[in-house]
Amino acid sequence: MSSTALRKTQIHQRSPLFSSPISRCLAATLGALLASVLTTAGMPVYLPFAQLENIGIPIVLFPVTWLVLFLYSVMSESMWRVWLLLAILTLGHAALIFHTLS
Amino acid sequence: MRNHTTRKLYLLHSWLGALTAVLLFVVAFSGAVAVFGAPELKIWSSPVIHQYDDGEIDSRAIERLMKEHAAALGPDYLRSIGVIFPGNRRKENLVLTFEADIQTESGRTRKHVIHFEHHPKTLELVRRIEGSPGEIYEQRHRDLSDFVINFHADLHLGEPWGLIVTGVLGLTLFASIATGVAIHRKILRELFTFRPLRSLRLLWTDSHKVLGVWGLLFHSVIAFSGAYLGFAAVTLVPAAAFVSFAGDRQALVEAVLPDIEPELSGENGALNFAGVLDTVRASDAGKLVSMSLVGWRDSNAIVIANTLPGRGMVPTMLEYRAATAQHTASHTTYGRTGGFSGTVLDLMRPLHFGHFGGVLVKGLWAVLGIGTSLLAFSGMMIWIERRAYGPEGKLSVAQYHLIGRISIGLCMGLVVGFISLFYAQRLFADWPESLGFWLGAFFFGSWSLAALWAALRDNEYRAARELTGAAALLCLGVPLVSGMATGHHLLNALTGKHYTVAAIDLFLFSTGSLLSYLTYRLPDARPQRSRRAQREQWQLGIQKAGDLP
Repeated sequence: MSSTALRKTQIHQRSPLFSSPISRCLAATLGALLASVLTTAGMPVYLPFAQLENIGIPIVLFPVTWLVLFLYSVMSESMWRVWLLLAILTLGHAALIFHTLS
Repeated sequence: MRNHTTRKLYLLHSWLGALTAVLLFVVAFSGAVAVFGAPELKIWSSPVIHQYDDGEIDSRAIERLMKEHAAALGPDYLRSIGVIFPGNRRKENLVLTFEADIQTESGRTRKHVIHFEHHPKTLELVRRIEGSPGEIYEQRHRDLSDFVINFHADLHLGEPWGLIVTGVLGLTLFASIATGVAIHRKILRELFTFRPLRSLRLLWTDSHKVLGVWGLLFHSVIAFSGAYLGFAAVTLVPAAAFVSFAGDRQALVEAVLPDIEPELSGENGALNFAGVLDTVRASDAGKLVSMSLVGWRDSNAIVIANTLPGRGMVPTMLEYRAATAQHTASHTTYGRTGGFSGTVLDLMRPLHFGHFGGVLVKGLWAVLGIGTSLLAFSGMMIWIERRAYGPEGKLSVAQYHLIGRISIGLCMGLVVGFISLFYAQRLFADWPESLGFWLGAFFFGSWSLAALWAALRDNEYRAARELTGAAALLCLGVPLVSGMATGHHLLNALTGKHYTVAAIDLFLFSTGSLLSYLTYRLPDARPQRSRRAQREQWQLGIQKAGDLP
């Protein structure tokens, strides 16, 4: 076996860097996007600025919100913490939105 | 621990790049071309406006046309009158629009627009269409300029999916930049490390790092504003309206955008539209795009002039009294929002498109945009190189070569597709109704053909060389075909002071020459010595630093 092929085999035999790959992919793609959109929509409810600033600031910060959630979903060692954070943000902001509209 | 985190970030960076590289190349390269979409490509596309300068249309002639149409249409259509000047943005002719609110059979009110197009030199009526604003938009004649701008915005996938795709690409570029910065700790050294002749692997990795580090600020701005522009219309604004305005998107738009509805007195007043136009032209505002008159013949009627950024970075709406031509206010799109978010939102579009500071900034944005596309392409090549010849990857070498040929075909094919648009524009300009179809057929046809050609070649070097040669020939041929089709060739464009046309022809000719030289220099196959040396380098690299980059 050539040294390159041996090296490849050794790499594949190592323990994976990312645990629960399917759950992690779902959290990083759909979960992070849904949570960041709902957070952007719900933030105007509790931000303390003027009405238009309350709408504008979350919209401006949307790419940053998504990036933070995406990186956390990918990098975190514990998937249940990732899902817990995404669930809190998604459900919390969904509840705030529902409360405001009802 | 730190090494473990870096390895995870590296893996994330490489897979994120590999999955999005080709699409990112497509969006970034099309963005670099779209920077010159309006007015430069619009002017090149239209022989009618080759000789046009917005100062040439006499203001009194425009006012006379407006009054003639107003008299013929009657009072229902005088609620809002628009004038769109050719050249500066998206129109070939001088456009006058008259808007009315009409009752539908169901009792609802909807806007009905009558749209007149006049030749910019003779002012002869060229076209009259009418319908709702959406129907008017659908009936517009699409040319090269519109095709390029729309392709960059939504890849011709339409709303909302096209915008969502480009928005997601902005987000993934943003994440690639963040992870790239985190894994490349020696940024200052990488600014000046470029070893193109040592090996192919070093050529790709050094190019990737140099392009990434020198253009870091630009890539970040483009990613951030691209994500915002992609998501704003289809997700963020509807979401904000849903919560803050109980789902009423129109209420949000009215609250955020400038309040320019005049309080009409009901008393007759003079109309000095020509005076307002002369005042705007004499001011230091940016180039005039359009004007609208609200409150026909009312003493409180106003005229709004929409201008491109002049001395500042942000497009401005200038408000004038229609009777006296007195300037009363200036607005920016998000000026009412104020504060931090209003300023940032106003800056998003100019920063993304480079539409401030004139042609020099546009040129810089185009060069940096090509840098972003090459960043994606070089990243993809590194990903393939590391797997075909390095220690990573599970597929066979042949499979990685196939991925390489497909990527080269899609990226170089896109360049070929963009150049073929110039041919479609010149060959089918006399059939404006079907020009949009032919532009699409030339673009997607040549792109697909090039991608298929590359996939079927025996190696990626030959594919890259042949497609570079095809792009070179096409570039060199554009000025020739353009001259034959329109009579405006390079020499008479220069002597006739049609500098935009001449500059684009000259740019294509010099790009064609450069690509011809590249075609001559590019190898037909991977050099064997280099391959052995590369394997040795990989093994040396592995011994020294594990399998990290």
